[in-house]
Amino acid sequence: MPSLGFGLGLRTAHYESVLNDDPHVDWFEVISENYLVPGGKPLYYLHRIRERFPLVMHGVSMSIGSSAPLNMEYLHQLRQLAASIQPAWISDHLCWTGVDGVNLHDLMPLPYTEEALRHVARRIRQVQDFLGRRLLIENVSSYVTFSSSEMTEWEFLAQLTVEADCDLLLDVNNVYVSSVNHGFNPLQYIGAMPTTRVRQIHLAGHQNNGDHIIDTHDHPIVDPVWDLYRAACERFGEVATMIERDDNIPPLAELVDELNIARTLLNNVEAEAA
Amino acid sequence: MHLAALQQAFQDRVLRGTSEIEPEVSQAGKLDLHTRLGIYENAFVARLVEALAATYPALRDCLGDSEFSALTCAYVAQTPPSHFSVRYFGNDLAAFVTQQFVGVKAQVLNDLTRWEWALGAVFDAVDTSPLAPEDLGSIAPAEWPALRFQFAPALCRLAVRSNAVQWWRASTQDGSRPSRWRTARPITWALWRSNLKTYFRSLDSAEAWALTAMDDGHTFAFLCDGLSHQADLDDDQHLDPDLDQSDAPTRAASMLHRWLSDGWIVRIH
Repeated sequence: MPSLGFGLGLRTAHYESVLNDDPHVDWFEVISENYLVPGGKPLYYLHRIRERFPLVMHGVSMSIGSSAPLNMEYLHQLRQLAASIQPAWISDHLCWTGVDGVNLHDLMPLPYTEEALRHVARRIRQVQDFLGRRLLIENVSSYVTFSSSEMTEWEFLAQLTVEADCDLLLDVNNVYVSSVNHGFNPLQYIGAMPTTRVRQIHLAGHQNNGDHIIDTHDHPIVDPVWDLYRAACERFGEVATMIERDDNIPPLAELVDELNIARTLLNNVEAEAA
Repeated sequence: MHLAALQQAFQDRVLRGTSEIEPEVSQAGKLDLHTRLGIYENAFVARLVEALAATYPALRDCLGDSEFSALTCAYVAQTPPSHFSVRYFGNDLAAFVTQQFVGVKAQVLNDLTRWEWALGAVFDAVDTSPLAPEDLGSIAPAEWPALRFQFAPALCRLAVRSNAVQWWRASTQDGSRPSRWRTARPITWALWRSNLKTYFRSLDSAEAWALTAMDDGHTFAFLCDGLSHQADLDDDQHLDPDLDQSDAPTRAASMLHRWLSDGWIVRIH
């Protein structure tokens, strides 16, 4: 399947620019939950933009790693939205967001154990059966690891693609953030990702606090993340790539310029390989 | 610790600061355990306070950052979110505000919170196709008394008992800021969406009663009858004392025309 090319996260501040300025963007990623509403402006713009651009749906509340039961109401609404806008794919995170009826609205880390692997793989298969499509699972930024972990995060993800028959959304910024926070080699992580499973790449900025990094999506992408992206391009070739920006959101044109850096980088990698 | 127990312990830490999760967290690396866990604890509160600030910008402006933060942090502590969308997290804030403040200020802030919540509900309510005044033309005269109206989901009635709307205008529309919190004679407001824009206007007591009655499923005959027999209504439903009873049918038709023009009615049956 050919790559979608280079995309951006769709943000309300950019609705009019997206429709009127003919931006050099190949596709948009939408936060699924923002459009799980009855009607009004969000869905109006979503459908108008869908008429012109391919979309992918990116969720934050599937809680695929939770020990609580799957939220079927959420999945029904997700399936309904997907039927409506026909996204190229649906993604969510390798995390849990709450138990016992609570949604923490955060991407909570998992222990990388055999128990968790079996649990998450089983749930991904359930969701994939329900949605009738393969999911993309994204690695999250994390600030803790667990003493009970029996494998690395990259080993867990790679194994998960086999056990669950899912694809991956590789967030290069998250790999970098976690590598600093936990002291591992991010290149080893990139090198362990199965090449046939990475369907999408995320790029983003973050907040560097010196001894740790917080994944804030409120700054431009930094050089070490661009370096990792280059390594990802070398390993995976052309993969649909997009930039997430959730705070301090600049004009659309500024993000398009940043996206062009990614385009150039991939072109350079491909030229060097030719 | 198995997965379920670990997640419960981690969540308890985030919600209540308990320590059961600590032995499960790896101590390797530059950051100490409390800093690492604190990132999740702080992010949880910060994200929800930020979401409430987006839902209630005027409430935040009226209270100021410090008091708004104290209020919403207390709300987060008492009401952990359960819905998959953070959009609905502020659903119970109006009631919480009433518990946290006293007297006139509590009334104003409760009104203001309900006002901003209603604006949000109108903003993304279900899309419908409203009828136009011209659609009345096809109705036979004999059918009128039994007519009932179905109103658009994006129409909301809200009773305000204070100068909260003035506070809201001062915050969002450069209106003059009131000098004090003040209660006022109850006024019913209609808030609605038309062509993706949100509108609102106050209703006089006759129109407020009429809209309530019709939304409750009463007939057009009931509307006309009610407007001409205001004395039969109970104390909470006094109509405009200046209304000439012989004008009731005309007034009813006028209301209906305006409701249709404003896009409030989606079905007549």
